[in-house]
Amino acid sequence: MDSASIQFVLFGLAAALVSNFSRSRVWRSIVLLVASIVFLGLLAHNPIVFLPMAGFLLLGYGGLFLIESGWSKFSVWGILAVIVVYAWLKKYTFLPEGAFLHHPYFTLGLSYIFFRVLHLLIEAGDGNEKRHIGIGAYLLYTLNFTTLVSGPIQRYDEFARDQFAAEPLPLGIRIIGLQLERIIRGFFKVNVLAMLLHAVQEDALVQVTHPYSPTSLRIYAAFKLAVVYPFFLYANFSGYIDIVIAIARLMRVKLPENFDRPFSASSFLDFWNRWHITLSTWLKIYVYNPLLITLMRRVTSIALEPLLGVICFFVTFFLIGIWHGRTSEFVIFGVLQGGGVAINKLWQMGLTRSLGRKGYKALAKNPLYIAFGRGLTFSWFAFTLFWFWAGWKQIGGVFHSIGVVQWLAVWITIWICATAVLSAWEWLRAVLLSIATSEGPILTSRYARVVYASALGLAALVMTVLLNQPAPDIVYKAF
Amino acid sequence: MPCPEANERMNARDTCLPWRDWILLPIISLATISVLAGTTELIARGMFTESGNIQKCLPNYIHTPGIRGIPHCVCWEKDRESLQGKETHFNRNGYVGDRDFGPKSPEVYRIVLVGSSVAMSLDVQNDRTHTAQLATELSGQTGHPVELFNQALPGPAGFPESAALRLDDALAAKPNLILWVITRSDINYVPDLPTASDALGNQRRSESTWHRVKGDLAVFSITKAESEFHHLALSLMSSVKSSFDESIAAFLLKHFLFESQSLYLKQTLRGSDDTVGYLKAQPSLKWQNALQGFDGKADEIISRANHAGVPLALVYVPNAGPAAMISNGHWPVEYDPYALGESIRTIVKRHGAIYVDILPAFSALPNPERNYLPVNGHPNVKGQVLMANLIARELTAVMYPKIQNTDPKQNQVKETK
Repeated sequence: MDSASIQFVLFGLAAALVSNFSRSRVWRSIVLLVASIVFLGLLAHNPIVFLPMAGFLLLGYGGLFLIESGWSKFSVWGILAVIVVYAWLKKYTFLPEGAFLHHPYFTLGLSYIFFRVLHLLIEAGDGNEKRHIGIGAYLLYTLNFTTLVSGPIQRYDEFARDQFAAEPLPLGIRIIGLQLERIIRGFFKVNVLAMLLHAVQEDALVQVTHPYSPTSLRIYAAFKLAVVYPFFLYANFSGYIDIVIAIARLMRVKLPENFDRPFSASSFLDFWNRWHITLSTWLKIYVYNPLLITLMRRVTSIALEPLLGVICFFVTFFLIGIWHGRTSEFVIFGVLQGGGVAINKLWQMGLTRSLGRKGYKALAKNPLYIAFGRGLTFSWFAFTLFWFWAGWKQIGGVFHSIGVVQWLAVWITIWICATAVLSAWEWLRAVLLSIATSEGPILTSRYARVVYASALGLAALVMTVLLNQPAPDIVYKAF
Repeated sequence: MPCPEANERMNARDTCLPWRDWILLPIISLATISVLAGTTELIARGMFTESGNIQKCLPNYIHTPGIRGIPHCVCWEKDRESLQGKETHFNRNGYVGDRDFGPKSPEVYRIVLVGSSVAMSLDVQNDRTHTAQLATELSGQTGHPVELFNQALPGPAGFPESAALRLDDALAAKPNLILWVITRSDINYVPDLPTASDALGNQRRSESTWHRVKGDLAVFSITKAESEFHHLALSLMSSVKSSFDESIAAFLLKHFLFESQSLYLKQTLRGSDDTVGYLKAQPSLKWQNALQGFDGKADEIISRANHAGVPLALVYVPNAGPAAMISNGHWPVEYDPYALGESIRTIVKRHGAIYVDILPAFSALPNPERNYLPVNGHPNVKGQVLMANLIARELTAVMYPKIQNTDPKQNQVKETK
């Protein structure tokens, strides 16, 4: 069952329907747990393959139990053990090959379970509030089928607030309509938009690396290859997120948003506030903040203080990069993410120093500065993504396909085009949303949404029937 | 309508819809779908028109092996994907061409082309067909006058069984060479008479969707069994899908989607054994049997040509799918785009004919699938030029001395590679 397939949507809707037979939290929890177990069973039929994951969950719960029982000193060891076992199960290449398990086992969703387990252990170890998480609640939280495959990464307190509420979140007809529209939108993004963009990317890759492609075709293909992938990744990932958020809401659980119009970001720092929000938030809370506080306590030099934030940003986003994969390409991806954020921060600091705070604030509001910043952010993200989707051989083939000067021209063109197109889109969006009645913008009214959802639904159905081939898999399922 | 969940926590706006919206919103949805579907169909019908039919000059050619065209017949046909229609003239011998197969001049090297629709260049203007260009290419490359007579006919009228039945026509033209252009369809075709099940299938295809649904519902109301319901559901889905596939809107979408090499290849590789089995590294039993059948017909044709002292050269023209795979240089491990060509080469060499191998040339062509009509699958105008170039180049490499010396007694069958 693909994560954004018709089967998954129907499964989720069926689970939501059954879940709403009763408002009782016990009933809703039973349905969610059964649905999650059934979902796992549909993904892999042999129960043996789940043993390593079960062991990982047991390790996490064991650590949690000990900490809640008063063994707070164990929390650091527990966290370290979870990290090491995670790296071992995910077969990170810095570990010796001989140490790995050699029979196949189930790891889908392990990265997200890892975040949830770590979050529980860290929060329990902080000891700020005494709470006990039973095994049922623990399994519900870690194996929740709506967030298992690719997130979003939800905090336990938010999950428990909704899942175990005596009075569940409301589910009126308008909310149901909004979720159904969101499911259709997500399905369209994954099964139509992402599929078409993926085809463009694959075709461009063939053209740019074919030994007999003329240079003009290769330059154009290089441009397409760089530009298309960010949009593909967005459509692929955010489409899946739309579906699971909507299904979860129908089951009366509000999941956090994972995207907030990321290509509107005017800086790379802002970009990571809008892209995979739950991941960057998690790392900011559990890596950036503690690291910054630790460094500030140890580094007494006032001159170095501004640089501590830069270092912490680099480390945080480097970890974001390498979380995505276990090979050396993702190390570079991490360096580029961390480097991009760090340079962005240094740039902001430098401008503030030279222009003063007021001067920098005024500049940051300048439409032209915002537009070029937006274009540069997109271009940098597009560049870093080569280490996200390609192996070293492919990267070599692509970057050697045209000359250095030609690549420079391609990236400058991407920057200028991104600046123009994204700015035009922002302007158009603002104009369209300004057409409003007393109830709000016309384009977000339920009538407009029905038109929109019907059109997208028809397009998605037609493409699914016509091509009768699966859309590209959810990229983030692999992490 | 009552709002059962209105309480302190909820905003009434979130729970209730005005009465009119329960009617208005579904109407808006249906209207949107209808307008979109209708507009797309209208645009598609405007963009992809078809007219005429070659059956006017080739009546019942699908079920009449060995048929020739009606002498001196002129017919018009425009395929949906062709930009222009084509007027096809049949000569007094019943083959495509403005002139008859008269006596051969001693200094001219005469080639008779046999095969099916690809060899016939069905969907391309007469002056742009590969046959029109092949003679010029060969003359240019050999420095010797070459004339080419096209005895290819479309579909089953050009497949091996028909080609064997009409071989005397090719030999009667006293050619220096018979050039047999085949595709995978020539291999896979198994000639048979229409059966009762075919007739029923044809009848079903010609029925409207509504009549099919009515028929299916009638069955359901009689049996009322769970397995019948399942069969009905599948049958309805299949009816909807096949009806959609028959629409011009679907044609429009396929035309533009299949311009993408990756989408086209993925769609190709999901096809049935009929359409993709020949690409497998280990062909299926059906394709093995088809190759055996082709072996028999090739033996018959090549033997008769050899007996008449006329060399026969065979060229296998790949479809867009294998062409793209060869160009990319990589494919899924269970496939091999060269497999069918190698099987044909083995058969041809065993029977003492010449195999003209144009497959390796596709590795030097980026995006060769753009030389084919995306849905129709036949070579387009660019593809005709490509075919002419490739066949002329490879044929010249093999036959150059023979073309230079046009004395038929000195022509000998020779292996190529």
